[in-house]
Amino acid sequence: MPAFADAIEAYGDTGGATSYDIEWLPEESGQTFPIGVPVQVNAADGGIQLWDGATLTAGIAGFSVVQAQNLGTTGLGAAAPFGPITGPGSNIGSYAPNSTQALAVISPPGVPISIGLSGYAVAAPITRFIAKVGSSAGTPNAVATTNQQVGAAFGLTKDAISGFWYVDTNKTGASAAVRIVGLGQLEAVGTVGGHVLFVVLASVAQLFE
Amino acid sequence: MPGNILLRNNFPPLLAAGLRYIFWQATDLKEHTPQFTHYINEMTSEDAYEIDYELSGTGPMPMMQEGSAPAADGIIQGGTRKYVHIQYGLLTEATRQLVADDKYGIINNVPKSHARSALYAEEAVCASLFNLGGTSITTTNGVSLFNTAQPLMGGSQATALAPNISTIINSAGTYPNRPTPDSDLTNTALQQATTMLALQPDDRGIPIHVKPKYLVHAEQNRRNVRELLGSGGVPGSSNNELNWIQGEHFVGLELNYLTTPFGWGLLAEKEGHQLKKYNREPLMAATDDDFKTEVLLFKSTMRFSVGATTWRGTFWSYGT
Repeated sequence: MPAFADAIEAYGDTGGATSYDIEWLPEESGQTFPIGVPVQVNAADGGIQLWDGATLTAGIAGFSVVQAQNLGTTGLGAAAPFGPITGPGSNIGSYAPNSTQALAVISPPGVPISIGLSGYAVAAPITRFIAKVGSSAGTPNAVATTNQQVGAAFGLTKDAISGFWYVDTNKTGASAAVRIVGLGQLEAVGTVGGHVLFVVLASVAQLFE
Repeated sequence: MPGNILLRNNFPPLLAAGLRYIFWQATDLKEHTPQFTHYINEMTSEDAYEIDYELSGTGPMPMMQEGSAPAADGIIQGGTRKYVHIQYGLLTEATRQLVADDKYGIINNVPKSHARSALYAEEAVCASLFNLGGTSITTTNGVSLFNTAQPLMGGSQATALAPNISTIINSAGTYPNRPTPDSDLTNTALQQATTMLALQPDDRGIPIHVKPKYLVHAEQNRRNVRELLGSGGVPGSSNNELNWIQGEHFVGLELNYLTTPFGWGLLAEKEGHQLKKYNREPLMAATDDDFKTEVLLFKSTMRFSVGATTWRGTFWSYGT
């Protein structure tokens, strides 16, 4: 086999003004997640989808920074290299105008732009995230922050009512996904449902070693 | 991609006087003059995106019987085409020491190279209308820009009303702007394309005037195009037939950014089609430096969108 590899070089700076890395990948079809939830790369087709809540080995790619568009197919509308955004440019709110052009849609102004990609803040173990703390034990509910939570590893659980996720003190050990590295600075220690700062465990981060 | 920070160690010849000449491809290799400006409608934009909308006209006027009301007809709404602007950018990083010690001012002129890179992006994205127009680039009617069956808003009634198109269309209610199957550029293929454009009705079935101007092609078709457009007689024919194509006054437009070697097509003048480029932000160069590392940053960015509102005024074949 002839040599084929070439130099490994820096491709771009991470960080910048945001100080954390945002990446974009094709959005998995049928996703409806909001901003600020854990997402993962679908192993079958590489689309970004809501984290299944169970895969802990290389399971979380990051946290969504844009809402999902409920695309008909994975990556619908994404631009090819040196190509334009394809498709209607919007998915949410588009409606069919007439009976003779089945694929034509009217895409109203003001609806979210769809570029076929989903952006997420990379779950790099050096990046801190913030979430509320709670417990899924019994009836899921918020719990108080404590100084002792700092340094402990917990899981993430989806709040069935709001659809957002919280650091779950009921998930420890093998169920842990994140490690608390600090408490929210705007709330007193002991605040029920206060915020905690966390990093994603290296083993759980999907796109980071 | 050489994305690493440019260091003095990477360019030792630049650090000492004595080079007679530096053949810098960014400036010494002549680039093509802009080509997209010949065929695409350029407009400016001040918004995150632009939306185009297509509507049909009213249909042919039917008889009005004595004492009765005329037929009622309106216009049909088509789809919209959203042009979402895409940002393009390039960053080159070099140490201050390299810039200071560069005896020839090459590194300081990196933005010149960026301009060349930017032109490629503009050309390639505009040419993607041809390269991807048969697949992923769609217009207001939701199907690909070049399609053997563009659905008409008037449906089968439109193709039933339009005169003389029964041998052109592939299915009722549609009209093609791409041959079935794709053909190479020949005298016959060009005749079929010209006929297809000449017989084109609007979405209600009313014949419209479409006059193609440009014969778009890649380098591989240069000889073919010159022969087709320039021969006094029909090229390749032993008969003394008039080369009818000369009367069409086509102008060959060779593009260097097509990805199908034998793809070719006909395009009306700019006002006759809706291939568009919305310029949101022009190419802008910026420089800065990192206080801590003294690394100089040369950044160039621009933002624009390209697309096609409608397939009208276009014809394309991807060759065989």
